[in-house]
Formats: sequence, structure tokens, C-alpha cells
Amino acid sequence: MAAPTSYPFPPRARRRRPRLQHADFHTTWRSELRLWNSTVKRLAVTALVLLALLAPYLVDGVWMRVATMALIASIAAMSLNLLTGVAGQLSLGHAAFVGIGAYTAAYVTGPLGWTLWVAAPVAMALCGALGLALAPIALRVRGLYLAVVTLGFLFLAGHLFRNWESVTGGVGGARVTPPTVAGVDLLRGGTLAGFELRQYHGYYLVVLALAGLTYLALRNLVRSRTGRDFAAVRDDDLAAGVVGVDVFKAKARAFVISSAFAGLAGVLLGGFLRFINYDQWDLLLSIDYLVMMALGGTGIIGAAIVGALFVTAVPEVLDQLAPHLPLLSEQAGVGLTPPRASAILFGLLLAVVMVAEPLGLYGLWLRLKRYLATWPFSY
Amino acid sequence: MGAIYALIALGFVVVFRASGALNFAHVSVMLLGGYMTFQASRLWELGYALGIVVAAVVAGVVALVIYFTVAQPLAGRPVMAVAIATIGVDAALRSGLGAYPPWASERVEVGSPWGADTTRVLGSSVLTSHLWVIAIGAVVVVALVFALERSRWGLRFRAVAEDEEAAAATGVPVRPVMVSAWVLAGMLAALAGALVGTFPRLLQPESAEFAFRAIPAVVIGGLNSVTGAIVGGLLVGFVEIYAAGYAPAAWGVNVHLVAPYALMLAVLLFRAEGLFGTPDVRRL
Repeated sequence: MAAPTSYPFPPRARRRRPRLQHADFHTTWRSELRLWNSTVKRLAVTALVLLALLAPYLVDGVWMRVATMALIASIAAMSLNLLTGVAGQLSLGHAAFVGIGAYTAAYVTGPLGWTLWVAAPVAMALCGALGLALAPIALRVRGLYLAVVTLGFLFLAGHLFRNWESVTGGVGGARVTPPTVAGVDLLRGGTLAGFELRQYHGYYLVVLALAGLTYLALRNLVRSRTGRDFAAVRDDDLAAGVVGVDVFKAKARAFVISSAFAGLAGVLLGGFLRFINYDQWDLLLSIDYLVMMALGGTGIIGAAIVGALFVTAVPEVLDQLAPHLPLLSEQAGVGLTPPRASAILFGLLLAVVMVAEPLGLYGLWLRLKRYLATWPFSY
Repeated sequence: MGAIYALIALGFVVVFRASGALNFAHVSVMLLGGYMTFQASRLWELGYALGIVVAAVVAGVVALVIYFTVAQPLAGRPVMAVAIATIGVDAALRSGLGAYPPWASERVEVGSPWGADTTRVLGSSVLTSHLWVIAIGAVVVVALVFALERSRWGLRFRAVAEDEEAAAATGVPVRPVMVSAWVLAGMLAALAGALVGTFPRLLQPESAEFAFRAIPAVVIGGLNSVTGAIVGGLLVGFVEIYAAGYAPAAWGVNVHLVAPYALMLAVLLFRAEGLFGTPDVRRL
């Protein structure tokens, strides 16, 4: 007797992962949902990680500082992107959570005398709890009202930073003890296990690892069921509720996770700056995070890293170029100083991005890709 | 104080009802208006009243530019986009103002035509300029409410606010109404800015916080309610004064500057649409 055939269907092909995987054409759903779902993406990510690891050997101290700041900011920007870009809850109070993280770092390393590594989970838990406290308000008020509520939260937090002197040091500011590993100050550098660490090098690596973990965590969240809930709530929370998404749970989760990572960014920022002021967690910082998010690509987690690099690097570039540029003032605090010039630039960029390309640089990249892919018949 | 907040709040409400978006750039337009008044009345020596007129014209033009460059291209997109874009415009404009040394290097004085005179009202002496600020605020508010309720323009404005497409279908010129609303809001901002800088107070980049504290006023009253803006403005003014005078020292310095936000959070928890706002009915 003949072996049963699978006629009229051909025998099932053994599913092999193709050697070269195209980004848009997949044979399985699983393959499409992969984190980096094409060969090119995988190669690009590998190259970027290698570049990031080698960066300390390629650039000098000033740019290492910028790179570290940018990576710290990218953690905050990515978490804002989850809350505002993916879950659609516009927050103007993100800087407050970052500030709370930084003050937690100051309190934990100062009066309590623990290390910065302890401060990170403590700050994440604290900020997460505060985010949870905001969630019921987010359920009641929507859209612009929520933006205003978070703005109010930002101002109230600023008031607390200034006045709760026993914890925050008030107007005098607070000191954060920088982290050490086996007696080596990660900011200053030194020799660790036979490894020569330059200035900022050790801290940069720690921040890089944490930024990478943040990216993986948030990116994985976005492609999970929870992430789809977020997107449904963003598109229309009433409709999401009707089709069975637990709207409150989604909003609460978005707030908790986003605030927790903002707290992490705050701890890292505090440890990096060593000294924090009560007035640096203001609306302008929140706007900076918004610019990072919008410029990179609203709703695209990784794009916020690009935005953070840009937003952190521009003031430094302007600072270096100030003597050569017209209009720019070199006198500190008077006239068109580099910080002011970059604030003007970012503000205008935010408006331009919103009007011209809502997906920011990511949108431009998509356009470019499409143009090249269909060349020479592009339109 | 309350009168100024009410004026600023009205500007927010007028734009919100016309375009459905919170115009954060209102803050910097108010600051610009104040500085323009200073420029025109003190540096160009045109006098106080003419200074305000000049400032109102400039602020109106700026508001017009913001409408045509930001709000109009974004019409039909989520209101969040307009809000974010105006936040950007606001940051840019305020930083730009801060970068202009003749204005921002120190506090400037718009002064007032009434100097430091005081008047006796109900047995206590009050600065004459305070009374004038209240009077100007009241006159403008009454005039605006009257225009909204009784004039042809007000009718059109309310029609557009109610339903843009239905208004257009019945022949209301939507675009001119929108433009006039934005310009009007800009002028209100300029007037408020001028009053913020009037005698007992000085104008400085931090004066922008006046406008930020008007935002809770709008929200307390309800974003789409003119009455709400007036009541909210007065309420925020009173809360601020009382917090400044009677708050226990343990609440910290400058608690009066954040008290409006605390009040706003409390109101929103119980009435999400503000005291006088209409809850928006949503359907799928």
C-alpha cells in the first residue's frame, strides 16, 4: 500500500530560517514579529553596538560626556515615548520623575550612605508608585486636561524639591556620591581588573548597558499584548474599552513603567552630575524630552535614542562653534547664548516636526528608503 | 491679580473653542505683549495707552503667524499635535525673548500712568493702578462676553465652536472666524502682558509664570467655557493671595505659586470637565 500522500497539498516544507531575511516579506508571523526581523537590521544593530562599545577609544573626554548624557537622556526619552508615543498620554511632567529619581539617588547615597546601585531600584519603585498615583487622574481626564495635570504635577514637584529641605537640600541643592566598582571611580577612570578605564569610560559602559536593557524592555513591551493595548488606548480609548481592553489597567501600566524608567534615568543623571539643583527639573527639560521623542519618531522606541543624541549634542556643538558663528553670544547668560539658541532651535523643530513629518527622523528615513527602493521610478 | 488671570484665561478659552486646542504659545505671546508695551511706552515714549495698542497689534500679528504656520496646517489632526507644536513655538519664542538683552538682561518697568497713588476704598487704601487693572479687566471681559452673545461675529464664533462643518454648511465663513479668534486671543494676551508689567510689578522673563498659572484657571473653569475662565481666573487669584498670606510656613516658601495647581488637581478629581465646562459626549 502506498504511503499516504498529502495530495492535494504538497508535503509541508521544513521551515528554515532564510539566510537573508527581507524586512517586509516573511514566511511566518513569528519571523515578522522578531525584534530585528531582517538580516540588514541585525547587521546594523551589531555594528551600532560595536561602535558604541568602541566609542570611548575613538573620541575624547568632552564627547564622552555628551555621549553619556545622551544615553541617560535616551532612557528618559524612550520611557516618555512609551507613555506619549505608544499609549498616547501626553505628559509634560516627565522631568519631575527624572528629578525625583535624581533626588532619590542623592538621599540614598547621602544620608542613608548606600551606593548608587541601590538607589536605582529604589528610585524605580518610588517613581513607579507615583506614576500609579497619577493613573486614576489619567483615567478621569483625557487629552489636553491630562497634559495640564502633568504640568501641574511638574510644578508641584518643583515646589517640593525646593522646600523639602531635609530630603532635597532645598535651594542649596544635593550631592550624589558617584558610583565606584572595587574602589575605582567610574567617572574618573582607573585600572579595573587589568582594564584601563579612561575618564567617564566606566560610567559610560554602565549607562550603555542600562540604556540597552531599557530599549529591549520597552521594545518587547510594545510588541506584546500589553503594547497592543497601549496602542488601542492611544487610538481611541473608548473604542478600546468597547473591544475589551482594560483601559484603566493599560493607562496605569503605561504610567508606572514610564515613570519607573524615568526614575532610573534620574538616578543615572544624578550620579553623573554629582550635584543636583532644585530648578533644573523644569518645563524646559520636559520639553527637551518631548523634542527627543518627536524628533526621533513618536511611537518608535528606538528612534528616541537618535533624538536624544541630537538634542544633547547640539548645545555642545553650538558651544564649540560659538566664536565662529554670527549672532551667538559668548558671554555667559547674556544675549543669544548657546543654550538659548538650542532651546529656540528645539522649539521650532518641535513645531516643524509636528507640521511636516509627524514621525520625525524615522519618517524621513522611511521616505528615503521608499525612494531608494523604487528608484528610478520614485515619485 | 484675578482680573489678569481672567484675561489670560479668556485668551486660552477663545482659541480652544475656535480650534479645539490648548495654545501653549499664549504664554510667550503674553510675555511678548508685555515687553512690547515696555518698548513702545517707555523706550519710544508713546505713552501707556498707545503702548498697549502697539503691543496688541504686534501680538495679534504674532498670533496670526502662529495660526497660519502651526494651527491651520494641523487642523484635522489630533489636538495633541497642535498642543505639542505650540509648546515648541512657546519654548522657541520665550528663549528668543530671553536672548534679547535690552529686555531680558534685567527686570524692566512698564510703569503706570497712575504712579504710586493710592485711593481709599471701603476704608482701606488701595493702589490706584490696582483699581485700574481691575477696571480694564472688567471692561474687556464684559465687552467680550457682550460681543460673543450679541454680535453677528459672536454668533458665528459660537457656531464654529459648536460644529465647524455644520457652521460651514450653513454659510458661516469659518476661516475668518478662526483667524479673528486667534488674533483676538493674541491681543488679550498683549493686554494681560501689559497689565502684568504695570506699576507694582516688574516685567521679567519669569513673568511668563503668570500665564502658566492661568492654565489651572482655565481648567478649573472648564476649557470651553467663557464664564468658567472668568470665575477660574478670579478663583486662582484669590487662592494665590490667601496662600501667600495665610499658608503655614511649613508648606514652604512660594507655596502661593503652586497653590493654583493643587486646586486644579482637586477640582479635576471631582469634575473632570471643570466647574463650568460641558463634559464632551463621545461616540464611536
